[in-house]
Amino acid sequence: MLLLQNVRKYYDRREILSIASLTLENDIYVVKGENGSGKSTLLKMIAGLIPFQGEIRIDGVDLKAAPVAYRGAVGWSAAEPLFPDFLTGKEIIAFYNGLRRKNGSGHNELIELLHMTEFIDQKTGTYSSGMLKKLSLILAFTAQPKLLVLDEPFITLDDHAIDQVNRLIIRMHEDQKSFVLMSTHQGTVGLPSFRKLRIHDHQISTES
Amino acid sequence: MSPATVLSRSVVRPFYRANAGTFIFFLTLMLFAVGHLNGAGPVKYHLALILGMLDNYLFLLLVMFCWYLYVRRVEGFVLQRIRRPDYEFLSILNTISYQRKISMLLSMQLLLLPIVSLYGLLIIGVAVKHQYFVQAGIVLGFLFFFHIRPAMVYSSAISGETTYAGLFNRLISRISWVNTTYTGIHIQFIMRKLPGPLVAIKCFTCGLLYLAARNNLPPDYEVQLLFLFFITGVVAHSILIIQMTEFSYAHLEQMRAGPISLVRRWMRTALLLLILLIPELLTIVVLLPVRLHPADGLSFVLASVSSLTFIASVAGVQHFNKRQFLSFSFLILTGWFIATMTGTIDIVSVVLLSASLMLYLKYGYNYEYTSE
Repeated sequence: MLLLQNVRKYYDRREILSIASLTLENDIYVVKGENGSGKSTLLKMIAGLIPFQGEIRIDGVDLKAAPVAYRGAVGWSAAEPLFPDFLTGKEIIAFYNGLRRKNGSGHNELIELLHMTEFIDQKTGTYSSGMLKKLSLILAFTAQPKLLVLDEPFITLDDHAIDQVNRLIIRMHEDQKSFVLMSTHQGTVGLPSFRKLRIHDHQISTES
Repeated sequence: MSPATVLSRSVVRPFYRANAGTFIFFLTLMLFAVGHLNGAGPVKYHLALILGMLDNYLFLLLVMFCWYLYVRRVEGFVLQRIRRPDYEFLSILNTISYQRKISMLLSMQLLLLPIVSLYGLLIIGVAVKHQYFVQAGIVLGFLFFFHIRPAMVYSSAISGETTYAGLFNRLISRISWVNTTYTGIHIQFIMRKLPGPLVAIKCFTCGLLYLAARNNLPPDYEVQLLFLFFITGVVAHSILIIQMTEFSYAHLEQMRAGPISLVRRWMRTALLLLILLIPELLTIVVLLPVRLHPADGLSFVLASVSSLTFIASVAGVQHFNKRQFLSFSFLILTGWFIATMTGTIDIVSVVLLSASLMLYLKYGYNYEYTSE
């Protein structure tokens, strides 16, 4: 369960988000809202990347009180990810696994699923934006977190990759009981079922 | 039109057009500014100059360093041209074999550096004649480096690579630790993206410290001025730190979301800075114990580590633009000046080190990166 309590975010004293209370049960959520409504800001706050006022908890673990445990439970993928251009995809995965102390080879299946096998040994400086996005998603899924936070996971992806990412999201949710929070501008989301969150006028509301 | 002619017309000619004035100035200086006073003409003058270089390694290396700076300037000019959108036609060179491409670019480099090449060969000739074989080898090595490296850099730029990884970077990138750890990745970033500032700062700090301390012998042993020179170079590392911080936030965001405690993050940064300070630490060791007393050496080490960790902590919790960071660096230097005058260097070091850790632990997660 993800709990947001009295969460507020300001930029230059301008209120961006104001959430008095929001409780999300284990499910797949898609955050919708206009450009600049604060979708990415909300996701970054939940991923622990930017400061905010208030409380965010996942299964009782408070982001501010137990930052390491909280971050261990969250996997993150940015809308427009950047990586050091002098490292290969494989080296970045090794670095990420080292940080999360993961020794498994779960990423190999993801590399294959997203058709990254022939590029994974190349430097990311040679990657297209779609390939950078795939690498970022591989890292997020490899973490096998309780909460998967994906900012615009489908932009720049080809049709095959979009389909595979949808399948992976469903698999993570069903098999590992992860819950997924993502934003997308895509008109249709290829998921059989999901719940909508809408950000409007700095407030967030759930839609059926 | 052959590819060689294309290169000559598109790069070599514009280079000479842009630098004609400089060439005339240098040629005048080298050939005509030397008078016939006491019977010595330009030939004797240059022979004496070359023998002077061959007799003194430091002088020879200084000349090679100046030539290196000139070669880098030429390289910068060519790269700027190659990367221009209207020079995209040079990608035609990617259709020929690598060996042929490199040999063409090597010829181009020879045409861009005729004075360096000819004067270098003259030095080698004089060195061999006077049996300075080691010096001849050194100059030959430098000449080779001045030509082959830029040719490889141009080739990589024509192939569309944004940065060129030199031989050293290629070698260290084979070490797994360098590619898969926070410290290693940042070291690579500095060596690949900021080699110029890194070398300049190291030359300034280590060179100045060594030269200033060379004659620092009893009974005229003096440490205050030496420390001020040294700490100025150390604080100049803030240029590297601010770029490193920006790199970390922009390119390692996904990793920053990982479950790493602030203490561990601070320690990784401290280790990185310690590695960055290895040349300074080695210079201090070389100067021990006569030219720099062990206790003073320890103070220097403490001051350098504490300064850099403090600067890194501040850069990690608060976004500064470059101008603000420069002011902040001056503030730290002023603090060190007061500490030197009041004899409180060690106390300030301990305070800075503790402040660095506390600042990071309190505000480490509060930083929000905004690219400018």
